[in-house]
Amino acid sequence: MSRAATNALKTVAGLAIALTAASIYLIFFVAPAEEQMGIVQKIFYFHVPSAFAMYIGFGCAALGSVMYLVRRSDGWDALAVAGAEVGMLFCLIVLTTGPLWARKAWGHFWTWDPRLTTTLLGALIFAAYLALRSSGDAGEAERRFAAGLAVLALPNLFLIHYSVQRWRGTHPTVITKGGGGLAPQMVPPFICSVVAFTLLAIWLLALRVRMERQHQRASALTMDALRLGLGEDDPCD
Amino acid sequence: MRLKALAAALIAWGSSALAFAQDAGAETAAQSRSTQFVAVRGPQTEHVPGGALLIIAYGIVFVLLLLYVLRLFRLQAKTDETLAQLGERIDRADRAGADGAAEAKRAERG
Repeated sequence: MSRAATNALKTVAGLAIALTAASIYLIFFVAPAEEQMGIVQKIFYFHVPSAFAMYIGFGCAALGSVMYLVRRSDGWDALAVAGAEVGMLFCLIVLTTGPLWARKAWGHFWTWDPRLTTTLLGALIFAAYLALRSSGDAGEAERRFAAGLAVLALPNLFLIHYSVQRWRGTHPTVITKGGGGLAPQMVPPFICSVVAFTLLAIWLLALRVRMERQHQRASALTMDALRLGLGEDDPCD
Repeated sequence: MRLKALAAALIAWGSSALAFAQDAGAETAAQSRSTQFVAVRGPQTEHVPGGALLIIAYGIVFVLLLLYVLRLFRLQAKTDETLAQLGERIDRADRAGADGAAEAKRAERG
């Protein structure tokens, strides 16, 4: 990676950390509590940006997988793996913070609402993807099968987003189309959190892509070394 | 005969009374839902602790992010280790190659 790219990555990381700190201040000291739900509504400020970050991660995984199936390039494969991991991280955040809010707002942790169900489905598909890729040096067949799974998950991403508009459910639709919007004092912390989590996702994604590329190169060099007789059990030892 | 009629009448009365009692206890679909909201008396109390749920949620967010960053560090350390091992193997092969060449030269001179 070039020096400029490394510096850009450091800048993104610094901005993400600074904006996350600013978000926490705005959420707890500036944003008012919600009239009906009280203080627990503040979960929303990290829950929704995590969902955006999840879309970024899973979207990159799907894009990388499609391109890998077309071009069979290690770079696209690295993007797919990184996207699946980062998407899963933020999906786990969504699937844990949401039920904690729901316990107070709905009286129970989970309901088979369309958005919750499609999000869980997405998590399960990408869990299968990561399980397939967990062996480290996945072979061509595992890579292709995993890429197929990520492509299969792509329509589900749209279903997650549009499920609240197309089907009846209990999930709130505050900021999406048809929603009532936020109180003016709630907007700055929300925007700050969205920017912070988006930068955080980009930073983690870029770091993970770089690591995956290094891992791919190290694996290729190890194979070359073995081919040249420089393995563990070579006569030089 | 009168006794039988009396018994039949008692059974009929008893069963109808039982059925009436069951009907009286059954709720309609509308009745099974809450039909009114009553204002709280005294200070407002919350049964589900919103503050605790909020702290748990934010705690989980930071723990998950931290765990993922630790995983990235571990992955990086593993790749560094693989590269270091490769470097060692190449160095050993170089040394062995140089020793072999020097020996061959000595043998040629000898």
